Amino acid sequence: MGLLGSDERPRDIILGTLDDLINMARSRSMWPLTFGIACCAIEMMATWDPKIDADRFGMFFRNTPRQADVMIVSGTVNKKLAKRLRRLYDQMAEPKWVISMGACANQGGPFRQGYSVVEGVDKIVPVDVYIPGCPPRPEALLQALLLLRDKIADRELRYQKPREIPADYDVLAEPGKDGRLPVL
Amino acid sequence: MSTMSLEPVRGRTDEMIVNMGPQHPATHGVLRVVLGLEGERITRAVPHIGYLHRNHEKIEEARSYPQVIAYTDRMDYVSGTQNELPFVLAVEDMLGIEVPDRAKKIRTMFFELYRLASHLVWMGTAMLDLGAISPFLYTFWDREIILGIVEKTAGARMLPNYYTFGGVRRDVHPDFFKDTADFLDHMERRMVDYEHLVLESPVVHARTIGVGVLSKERAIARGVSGPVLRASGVAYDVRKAFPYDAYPDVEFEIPTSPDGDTYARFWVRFQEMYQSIRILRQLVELTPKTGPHKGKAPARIKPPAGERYRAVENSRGELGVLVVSDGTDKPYRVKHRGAAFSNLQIVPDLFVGAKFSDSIAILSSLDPVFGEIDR
Amino acid sequence: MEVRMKQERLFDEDVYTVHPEDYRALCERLAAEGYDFPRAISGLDMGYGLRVTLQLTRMKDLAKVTVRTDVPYEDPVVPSVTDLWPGVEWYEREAYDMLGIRFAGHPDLRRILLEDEWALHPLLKRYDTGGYPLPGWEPAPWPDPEPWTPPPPPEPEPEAEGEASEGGEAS
Ligand code: SF4
Repeated sequence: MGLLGSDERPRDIILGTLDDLINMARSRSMWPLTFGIACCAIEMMATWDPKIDADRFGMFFRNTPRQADVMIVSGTVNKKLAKRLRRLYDQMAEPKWVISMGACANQGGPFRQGYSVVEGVDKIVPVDVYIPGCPPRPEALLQALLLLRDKIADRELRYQKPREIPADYDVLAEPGKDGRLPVL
Repeated sequence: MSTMSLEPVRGRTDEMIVNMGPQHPATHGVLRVVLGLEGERITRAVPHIGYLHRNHEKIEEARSYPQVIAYTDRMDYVSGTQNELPFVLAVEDMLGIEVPDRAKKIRTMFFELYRLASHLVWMGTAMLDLGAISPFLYTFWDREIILGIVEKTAGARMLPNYYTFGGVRRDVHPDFFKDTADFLDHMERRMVDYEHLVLESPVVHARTIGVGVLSKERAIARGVSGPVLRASGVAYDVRKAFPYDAYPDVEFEIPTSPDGDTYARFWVRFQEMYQSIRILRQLVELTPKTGPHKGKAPARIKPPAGERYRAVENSRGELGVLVVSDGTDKPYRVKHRGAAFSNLQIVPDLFVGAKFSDSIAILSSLDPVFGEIDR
Repeated sequence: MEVRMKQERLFDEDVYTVHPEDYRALCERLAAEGYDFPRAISGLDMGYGLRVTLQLTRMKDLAKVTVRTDVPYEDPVVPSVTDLWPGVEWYEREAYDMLGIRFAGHPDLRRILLEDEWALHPLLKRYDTGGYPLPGWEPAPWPDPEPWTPPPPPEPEPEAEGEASEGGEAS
């Protein structure tokens, strides 16, 4: 932000781009959706506890997807939940971001290859930040939130690449939908 | 969708059908309940679970015995090592492994530390559901202290994968006993605050006393266990009924309440925390500071063909496991008996007739954890 | 009444292996004997058929029993015991969900963990972890002395007496 300085101007005018202003507002009030799924959700709660205290960065949980900006996928997503998760994502207002927390959300974690587990939440929703760990420490989640904040602050409003939304989640139905039919 | 299963009754216009969950701030995870409402009264309730089904039982058949321990951790993720114990005990029984006395005491100490941690999480989230924010801030602070103690020894905070066949994986950190004693001093002071914040709060009284009454007979027939059963006046506790590890060596009581309402369940959990502190105090004194932490276990765990059911009293009730072995190094079948799974079955019983807003208080008094319910 | 079953003692539990037709009768008897706390119902794939394991505790004196019964793959029907112990309702649904055991008389036998549309009973041994059929899996033959046959050394007669004495102890 630059000050166009000549002495006649009032001192309290700051000039800058609209991008900067909007991005500053957005990145300083990232509101995650209250949606704890599994073990990682307990560490997600611990990120908002008085020790780590993510509140101080202006992040508060919102209970409805309409008011949330960030979805923290904190746990194993199975095929039954996948449709609901995608619907929640669709209900969130643009712009929206997704943090994939923990090995399970990244690629299935210890439950990879199981019949009911989605191997990575990026098959359902586009992910901005991945956090490794099982479960990641609260500090790791905090770092991810700060990384996301930087990412938001770099956004340009004029041109936005259309987001790549992953394929429809119907392909994630049960085993057997992809040709290898279970015989019963 | 066919999972709805709560069809509107033809000709009834006074009943409204409301869906709660799986994304709901007060369902402690991914529970979905479909409710029929008549005004504010709940007329029907159908719980739906399975949104966190992670094929535990199938994947454990494809893992070797030591690997399974890591999976059991992830069931009741709020209470860490407590889940490992039934499986470890069952396999030890099948193989006839002797556990040194010191290892048993260390295991019991971790067990009770996690009971405190779990009840602290329960207290914070239950009060959050009732609209109070500050207890959450206090309880999570205390929980962090417990997790710090665990982390120093086991290397992980929540899911430490610490027990093993014949004892524990590694010796405790030199500071462990001192840290625990310090924490107990702190916790005893804190319990006074918690009593003020929770048990003596008029808001809690108004929202819990006389709400969701569960009778003794109904509780037993429904297979309910843990604090929920004891709040209905049944003094059944696996720690006393079928003692394991170091519980025969310590003195403690089983708090029960005859009321069976939501407040009684709150109260019983509080008394359990006092008992945990008492057990830990005794164990800090009793446990030898040095000695073996692990007994002799075979390098390859191959229990003989057969089956064994063992249960422990975890923070939510009787957590059991049925291990079936066919003589190979992988279990043939591992069936978990989830305490929270059984406890959640009484949701329709307790919800019907209650007010809609009370359903939140009732649900939080059951303290469900979905990793273990859906497995 | 004649109940076809084998009785053993495993660790601290009495284990009854019973013919599926007599399962309900035995359960009624156990309920009358005061076994009031249902611990769990587990389904097992035995390789030759499916097994239902019911575990009960008596709160009065903390006696534990296990009841097992085996049914063939083709027709896995077991009578439901939800009316005796309402607490097994979800366990029976789970066994149906995971292994396809049908509990006759269950009030609400739906899938519980998976979605209703699934065609798969994933805990069957014929599927791998991912739920795909294992190539070359064949069911084992039905065991020749059937599981509920009492072991031969004690004559077949004392079985009835054993039952009676068991009932006597309980009362
Ligand atoms: S990554 Fe680990 S801690 Fe997180 S949900 Fe998966 S199993 Fe649980």
